[in-house]
Amino acid sequence: MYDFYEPHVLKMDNCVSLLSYKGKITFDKVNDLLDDYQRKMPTTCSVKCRTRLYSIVVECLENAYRHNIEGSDYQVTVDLWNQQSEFVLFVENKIKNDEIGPLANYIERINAASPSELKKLYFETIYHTTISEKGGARVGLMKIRRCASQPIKYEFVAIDKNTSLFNIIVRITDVYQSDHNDNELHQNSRNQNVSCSCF
Amino acid sequence: MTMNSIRIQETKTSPAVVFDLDNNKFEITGCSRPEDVVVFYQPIVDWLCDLKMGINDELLAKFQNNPIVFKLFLEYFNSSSAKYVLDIVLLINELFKSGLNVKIEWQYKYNDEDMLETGEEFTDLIKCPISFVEVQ
Repeated sequence: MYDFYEPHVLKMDNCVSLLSYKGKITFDKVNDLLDDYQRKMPTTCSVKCRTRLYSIVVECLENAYRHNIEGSDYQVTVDLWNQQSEFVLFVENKIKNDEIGPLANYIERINAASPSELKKLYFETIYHTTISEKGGARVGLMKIRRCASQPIKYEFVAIDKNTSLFNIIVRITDVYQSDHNDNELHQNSRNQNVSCSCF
Repeated sequence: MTMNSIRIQETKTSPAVVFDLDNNKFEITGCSRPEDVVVFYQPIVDWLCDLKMGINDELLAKFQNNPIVFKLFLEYFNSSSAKYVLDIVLLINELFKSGLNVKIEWQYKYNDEDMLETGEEFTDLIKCPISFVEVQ
């Protein structure tokens, strides 16, 4: 299980840990972790990367919080590493086995979608969706994918006949980090039309 | 037409909201990831629905030369809030289509081009005038 996300497997030797938590998750704990994140983010990180990574961290933590299996004593694991311009977030939480098929299909679908397809799917979903009993709009993973630099990596690890661990790894590369002139970045990226909102 | 104002204080996880028809002040400002997004946003959505239902000649005349400007300055909103942000924008568009003189001012922090582009993506969905203001 741990081979999936240990830093050396991710080729992130000499990386810095920005967040590391294993325990029960509550709304207050999500807030605490986000405070930690804000304090530890490198100041050299570009505005775009910081805001996108923040979105990724929020959505991953809220997913883990909302999809808590009631009555269980399960813990979530959250790790965020940084190595130069690369950021990698690992989140592990427990889900019911009957959720695995639909969830895997959903992630495969959004991983395969182009940015324009993802944008269309995102707007269609939030237009038609209703907020679930768990408080989600069913677009959290889509938002994560829109903000990330690479497809979402995931795996399921069986615990017993009813439950499994759901592990995801999300990567984002701060391609603008070496450009310290954010104003230039702002103009250049818009002129080149390379950016895409991760709303 | 008389409507009670909405005034909600900003918190760490939810934005400040002022919807005040008497003083022509309409603002949503801050970060949005409330613990219960329905509890937070449904009264705002209901308020806009009530305003639409109450549109009459008197109201149209009141704002004919002094538009209602909805200032939306969301520094961050999570995916659950996004559903309601879209609903609010679409409801403002409904007010516009009903003849009320309304505009949207989409504000975003300096250099936050993702938030700018989020606002720009709305322009494809609405006919209501929308302007973009970068806030230092």
